[in-house]
Amino acid sequence: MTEEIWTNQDSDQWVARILQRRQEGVVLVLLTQGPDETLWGLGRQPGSSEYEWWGIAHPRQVPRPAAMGIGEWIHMQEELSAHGDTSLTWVPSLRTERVVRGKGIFTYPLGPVHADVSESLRYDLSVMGDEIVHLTLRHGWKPRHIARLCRGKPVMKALELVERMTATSSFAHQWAFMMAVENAQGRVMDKGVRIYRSVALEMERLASHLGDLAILASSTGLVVAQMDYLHLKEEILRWNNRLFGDRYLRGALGNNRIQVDTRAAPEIIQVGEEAQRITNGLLKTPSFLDRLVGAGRIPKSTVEFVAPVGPVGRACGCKTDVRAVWDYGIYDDISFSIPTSESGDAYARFLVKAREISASINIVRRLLPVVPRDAHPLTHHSRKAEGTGVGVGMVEAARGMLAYAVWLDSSGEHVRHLAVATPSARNWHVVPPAMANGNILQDFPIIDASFLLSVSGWDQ
Amino acid sequence: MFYWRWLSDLIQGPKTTRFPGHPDPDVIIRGENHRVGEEGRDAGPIRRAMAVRHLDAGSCNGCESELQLLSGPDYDFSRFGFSFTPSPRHADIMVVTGVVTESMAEVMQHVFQAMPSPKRVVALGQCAIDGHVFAGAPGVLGSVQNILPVTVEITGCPPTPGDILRGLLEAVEAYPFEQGESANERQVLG
Repeated sequence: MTEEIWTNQDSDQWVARILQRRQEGVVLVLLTQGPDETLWGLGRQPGSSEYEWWGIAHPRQVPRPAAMGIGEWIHMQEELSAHGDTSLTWVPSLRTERVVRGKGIFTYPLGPVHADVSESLRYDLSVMGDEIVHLTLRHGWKPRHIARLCRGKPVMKALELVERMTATSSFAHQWAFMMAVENAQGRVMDKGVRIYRSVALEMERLASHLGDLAILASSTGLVVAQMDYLHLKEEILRWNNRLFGDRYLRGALGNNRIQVDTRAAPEIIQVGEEAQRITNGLLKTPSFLDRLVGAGRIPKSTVEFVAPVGPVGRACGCKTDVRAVWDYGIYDDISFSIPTSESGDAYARFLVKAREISASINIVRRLLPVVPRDAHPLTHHSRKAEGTGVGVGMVEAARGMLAYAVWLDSSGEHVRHLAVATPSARNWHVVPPAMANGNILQDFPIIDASFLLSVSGWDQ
Repeated sequence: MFYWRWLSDLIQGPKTTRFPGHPDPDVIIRGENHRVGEEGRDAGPIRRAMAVRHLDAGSCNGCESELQLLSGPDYDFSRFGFSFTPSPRHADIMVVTGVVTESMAEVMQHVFQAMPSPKRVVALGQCAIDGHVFAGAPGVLGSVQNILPVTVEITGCPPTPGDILRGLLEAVEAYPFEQGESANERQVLG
């Protein structure tokens, strides 16, 4: 990885340099805030595994990042859309021109506390009769300032904070953070460690997706399917506990030790078969399909601008999967399917998630027997190379691309600065346009359940 | 088909655990629950068939994930009369998860005031008890107990469904089970 810091230069110069880089074919994959209010970019030559860092001094004047759409600085993109070299426009939902008023408009204030069990988020739902004409999301009820708390902490202490950012993607956060730290320290993990981590990550994806589908089934009133999915989710969580020592894989990365259990592989495969059976049942249920097909379709312009990641993105034609573009884990050695769809509605999101369950089961089935059995203290399995003190880590979490950038202090053991781009922080921006796209009030819970993004990943 | 399933259920047993009445090796219990306050008792005892209102005051969605499993077939908390309610007006128990941020503290008080008496507050998870690893973060108050009278604290990060089930039963004084009447019933009978 090459590093290049452009500071104390006129903004015009580095704008020109970024444009020049882009003409050379470099793809800007991550844009994030670094220490001292500088902006950092991470670029990659297409077809190469080499990445290059750019440090940029004036974050307010940057050209719109690449069409690949990775990073979380959407509010900056909003500002840039006014004077960038793009035809796209984006008006933030809180600006006056986006607020709807008029006779007959009724606004439902939903939240921050909701019915059933859900996270705190306020939905201001404007309806005209039955039709949803506008949705404003108000978040920020529960910020825990995790990135700020991590500053100055030893790496293992910071890991405890990071794994509590979103519990349903706990291992993804641990891995992305550690990948960034290892990258900064110049350490390379051996294959056994990477297999172990890949299995844990896929198990987490299984539990998360099964829970998502349960809530989607319940939103359409199909309680039998909901209960079946919930039972399978519980099965996976119990296997997580038996194999890795925690239902949500807390501390699993540090332990780096898997419990041997010969029943694991056949029973996890059986969970996959059961899930397939329930999904097939739902696909033959007209009352389910009627509610999902065409509901919550994400408008094309929103897809183009926000470029959603993860299953939400793959269900609307953005074929971004970190497992395919970033070399981590052992995904390069095995073939696995990346389900996609073009239609971008609730049905497409259901299908993509259901197929990803089968794909993850396949990966677990193949990798579980080859995970190294003996205990592996983490430090013994690294090869020391030259560290730069700044590192990046990216994984495909259950909800999509999760990126960490870590700056270490001179000792290499303490976190100086931390920047996180969670998939939910990006994907929540597609929910309001998708909701106000010809849907009626009764579609609201179904569309909401078809996204199921985490609020804790947005508020952090 | 129906009878076949019915017969196989008889042979294999149901999915639902018999915990906490009987021990179950599959149900993990890790935390130690604490009964904290006697508040709310003066307003009279609380009976079974309880409506639960959940409030997220800054959690990582782990406690939510476990709470959702309570209504699933493995734990099925409706066996004991519990259900989630969409309205605070119908609620008997408020379950608070998360670190308690400043903005949610105010909301929490509104919800508590909207609930009819007698009522109970349950602090779910280590974050709701003392802020856990987030104690001292900006805008984080860190404890439900400083704001509302807490009846039971359920420890764990996140607490397992087994812990939550036991904690909820403790909050309505139905656990530990005793022969004959529960402690609650004996109090009523004098």
